[in-house]
Amino acid sequence: MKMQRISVLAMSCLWAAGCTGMIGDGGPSALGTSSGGSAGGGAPAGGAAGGPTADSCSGPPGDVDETALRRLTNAEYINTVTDLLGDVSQLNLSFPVELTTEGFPFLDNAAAQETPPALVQQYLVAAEKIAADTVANRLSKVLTCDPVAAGEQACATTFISSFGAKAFRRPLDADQTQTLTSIWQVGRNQGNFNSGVQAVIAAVLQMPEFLYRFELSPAVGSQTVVPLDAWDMATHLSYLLWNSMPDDALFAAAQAGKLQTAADVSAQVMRMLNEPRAQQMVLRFHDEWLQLANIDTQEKDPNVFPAFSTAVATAMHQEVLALVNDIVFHGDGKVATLFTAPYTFMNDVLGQFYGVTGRTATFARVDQAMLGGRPASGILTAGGLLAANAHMDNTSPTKRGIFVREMLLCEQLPPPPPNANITPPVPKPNQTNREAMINHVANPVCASCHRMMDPVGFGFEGFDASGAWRTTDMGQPVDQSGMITGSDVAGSFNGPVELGTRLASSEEAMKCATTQWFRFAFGRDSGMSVGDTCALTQLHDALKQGGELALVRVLPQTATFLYRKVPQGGL
Amino acid sequence: MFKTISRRAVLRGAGGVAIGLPFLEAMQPSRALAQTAAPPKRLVLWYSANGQMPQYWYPTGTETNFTLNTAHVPLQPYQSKLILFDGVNNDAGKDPVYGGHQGSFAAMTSGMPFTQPQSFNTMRPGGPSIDQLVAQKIGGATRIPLLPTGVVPPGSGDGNALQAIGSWLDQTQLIPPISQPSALFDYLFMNGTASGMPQNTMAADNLRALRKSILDSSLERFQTLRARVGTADKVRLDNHMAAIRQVETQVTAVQQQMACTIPTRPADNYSLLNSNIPNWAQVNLDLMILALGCDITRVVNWFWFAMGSGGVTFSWLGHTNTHHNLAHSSALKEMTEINTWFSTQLAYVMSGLDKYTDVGGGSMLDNTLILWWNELGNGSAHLSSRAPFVLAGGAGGALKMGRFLDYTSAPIENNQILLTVYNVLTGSQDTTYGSTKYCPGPAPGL
Repeated sequence: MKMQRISVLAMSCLWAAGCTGMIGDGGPSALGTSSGGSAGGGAPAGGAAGGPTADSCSGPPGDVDETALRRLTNAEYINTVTDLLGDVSQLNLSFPVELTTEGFPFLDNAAAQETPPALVQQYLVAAEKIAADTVANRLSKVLTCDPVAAGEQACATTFISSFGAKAFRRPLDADQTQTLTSIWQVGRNQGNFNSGVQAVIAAVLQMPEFLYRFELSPAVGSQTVVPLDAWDMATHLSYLLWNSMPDDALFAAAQAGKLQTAADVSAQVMRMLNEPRAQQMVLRFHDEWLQLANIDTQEKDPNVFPAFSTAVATAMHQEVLALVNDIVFHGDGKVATLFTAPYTFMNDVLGQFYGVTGRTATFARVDQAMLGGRPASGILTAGGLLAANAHMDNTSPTKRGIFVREMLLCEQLPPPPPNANITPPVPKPNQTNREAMINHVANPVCASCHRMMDPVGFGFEGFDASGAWRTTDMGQPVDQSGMITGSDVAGSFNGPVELGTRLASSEEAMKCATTQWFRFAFGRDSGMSVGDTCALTQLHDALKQGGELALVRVLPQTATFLYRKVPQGGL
Repeated sequence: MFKTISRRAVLRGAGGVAIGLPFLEAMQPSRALAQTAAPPKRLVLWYSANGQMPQYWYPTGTETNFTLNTAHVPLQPYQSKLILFDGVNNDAGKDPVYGGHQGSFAAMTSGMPFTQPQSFNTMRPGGPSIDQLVAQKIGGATRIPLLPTGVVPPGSGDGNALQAIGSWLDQTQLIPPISQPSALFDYLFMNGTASGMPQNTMAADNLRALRKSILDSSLERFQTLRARVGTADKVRLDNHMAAIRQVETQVTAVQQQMACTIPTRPADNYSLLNSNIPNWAQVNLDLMILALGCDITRVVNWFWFAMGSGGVTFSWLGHTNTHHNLAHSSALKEMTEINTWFSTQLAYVMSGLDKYTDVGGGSMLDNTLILWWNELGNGSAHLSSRAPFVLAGGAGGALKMGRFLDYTSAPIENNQILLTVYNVLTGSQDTTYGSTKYCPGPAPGL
């Protein structure tokens, strides 16, 4: 399982400070100001963003795309069982590693979620361990009645009803109740009352209602676009903002019918955004988007980069998160700033590696002027990203170019032409990497793809393969001149700061960041429906005008979030 | 250089107790019926990436009197238990278009042209890999019908899920290798035992009954909810249900209590760094050998790193460039060192299996057929001709080992070898494998 290293930053939650850039006409809550009336039987209102498209996107959408059925990610599984049953960190739970697909770096990509037998077995083992541990150590967390006083059957019924509803995130129907009751009976017959409880817990954790996020809001008549009911709403809000199941307050709101209007939803969103878990969500988005986990496993040739170490790699990962945290929660949260911020964050480990003195064990801001010539241009100059997109002993303009193109501009690079002989020329000694790569691209077959990637990457040649700043390469002054082609900010540039300026004004980059947020939030690519199109427009406008927190507040107002499409061949 | 001599040490538990025991001998008293039966056959599919350097790969000499080339020198002690080939093409791997790593990869063990050819990143296998087909026939006898494992560094699948997966049922069911050591341990030794069951018979019976009840109920719930979702999600739920049915069979069947000594569980935070790959490999190879030795599984899909090797650099051999880049630059010396290293690992597996006495008294190695495959012939040119299959071990006498089969004067298809392998392991008499277009019949002379 991928481990996030965000807790070590021990950052305080400062949503309020990030609320300066409001969308539309502003106000204490973007959601609160958007309720233009709940059209159609208490359905939540759709569009809310300001701008020219607000009118066409407000009200119930004519159509939305089908939701992707998401299985809990490994992290969501652990978070959910922890919220449901208590601490399971001592139980040695292990799950197969999750995989991402081309251009879609997020772990909740429904289409890429495989469920091989090994995962099913680990679900079974985990469920048995967790159930046994809960009954042995924390039974009172889930069992609220006394089987002796209330009678075993009655107490079992109470337990199944309350625990089942929490675990399935919706009150049980008759079938579910009957299923769990018979499992309780099997367990009971093998031992005692608690054996039955243990059996029910083990069963619930392997049921599809627990492992998947089904949308069960009932369709009325021939309705094909269905507003989410309170239970689906609670679940979606919770996994979107907290990466876990709903808390008691959300369940209570759903039970009381207080998740039906835009104002109700808005109040919950604002409450939820003030929790540290929501801040971690924003950081996790960047962690997955920029593939920061790859930094952790970087190793460099010790003969060339003796100062690089695992501790440095770990600090570099934290550097990016600290910078993102500052921009989103203490700054303007704009995409442009991610590419241009003239400062970074360091601790003593990183200070020593970058050659910046006076650092302490705590990450603190270091401005451009203090960096000794190393340029600072937001995430573009983060050592970890430069090291992760390089070889062990040398830079890779190709990898760095691909990173910019695929992750920051959302381009899909085409494969080499059919039957190409894609053997690159053998490098000559004492060439700079740039010279070797230019020769490489002299081959017209190679050039067809590499001219899109390498010239962007050349702009980062001031950073060696370990992410450290350098002024010479093979004894020659570093040439940082780069070129970006086929984009809305095409043209030549010199070094990452100028590239950052270009990307900051790029509509393509803005749309890409919007796309990445959409994928992260909904576990799929956007579709062609008016609902998805409006969602993208609203998210884009919010991001452009108000920054990332404004986008986060708009996410639960989009038609994509608020409605479900009755799927082809489904209900 | 990675030393092979002290590897058995890994099989020692924390207390230093050697656990490399003859497990099957220990099992035999409870297997009275099996005594008279023929020993079971096993398959290990063994993948390494990026092709080879032909001048250091193909042997010289005749069918039965040949000299191994540089890349296979570590296998010399087992030359009589090898079959090497030349003149084998993987033409399905360039059907319908040039398939590069991806298309050749998908076709090499399925024998089927790949699907979704519009881009390298969308290409998917057109049919099951051979390990799945063999497991469907012979896997049911053990708790784990098929063990997908290997060494897959984090991030290897970035960009394309297929890149880090060498086993698949079809284009939607890709079965990823379990390569994190503690996860592999947990998969093999469910609940810390080889059988996954408590020692107490009544407790075991109860657990089986409860598991059956729970998994059956879960399947019913899946079936109910399946009706609600769209077509693509139905496929995903169907795949999940198929996996549940397989696991249900594994965890509810009454099996022999296996006298298999369990090693120490590897740490959850075991280092998955590139430089630690030799150690990591040793842990997982030992677990794989143990899984075969303890009869927890009879079919293994062992996967080295990733299609194209991902970002792996053989730093422990002194390399500073990635395996993939070295292949592209036709780096003869390094590429040969890499394939020699893979041969060393294979020799280690062969020696590990050779230590086990199988049912009937022979060596387990002689009943375990290892199929070394690679998606490319010449790595630097990304060709699917001269596909580098190697067979090692044995098929219980059904294949004559210790040969070099040179088909260059009349090239054959990879499908033909796959057909023979499938038939000898499963006792089938099939006449074609994969795409019939690429399978005129079993490999002649094999």
